[in-house]
Amino acid sequence: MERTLPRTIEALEDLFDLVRQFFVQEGIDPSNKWIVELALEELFTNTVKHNPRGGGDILVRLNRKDDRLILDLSDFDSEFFDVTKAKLPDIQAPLEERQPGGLGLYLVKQLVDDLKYEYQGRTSKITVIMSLE
Amino acid sequence: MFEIRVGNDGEIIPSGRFDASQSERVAKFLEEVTESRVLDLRELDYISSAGLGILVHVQQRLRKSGEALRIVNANPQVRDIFRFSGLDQLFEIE
Repeated sequence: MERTLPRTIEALEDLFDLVRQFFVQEGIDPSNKWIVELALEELFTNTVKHNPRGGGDILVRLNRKDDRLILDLSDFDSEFFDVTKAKLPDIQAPLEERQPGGLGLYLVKQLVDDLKYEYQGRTSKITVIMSLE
Repeated sequence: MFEIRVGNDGEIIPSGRFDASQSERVAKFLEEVTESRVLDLRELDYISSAGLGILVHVQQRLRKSGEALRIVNANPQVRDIFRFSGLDQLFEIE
């Protein structure tokens, strides 16, 4: 299942609608749907924030292969930004030292089994793999 | 669908799904909070890093004057998110 979404935070409603439809179509237990929603929200908003002037929409695809979910986001007009190597926050830091930024990618890395980044011909593709078990 | 309101005892009650599209609205709402408050999450179904970032910012501001947000009634998913992000060390959670 796939959908192209405009490069704006307001498109999150459509993103969550896509996830809902996918879970229904595939008959997946919705107890872990929030993890898929969180991973896609963080990656989508990250793409919008880091590349607000990119051209065109962002393609989001959700696939199931046996007991694994494979999710990917493609931005067809982007600079290189490898989300797998982004600086992550120190979540042990005391309150006064906490800085904004990075927490979303940190959570994604905590919650999914694998996160991949590919860049070719100005297209950034982020792939998330997670187990349904 | 997301709403945020003040309860009868002054507690702050967000309800529904707090995603990044709600950030500006919630930040503005919480700007008015200047003293310790209970943040009752019984009606909150979902929160992402955008929401967590706003709560951290409010907690930082309040702590400077000896005040704090105290979190109650978070559902297991929301509790997990607080734990994974280390926010369980920054807030009193009941």
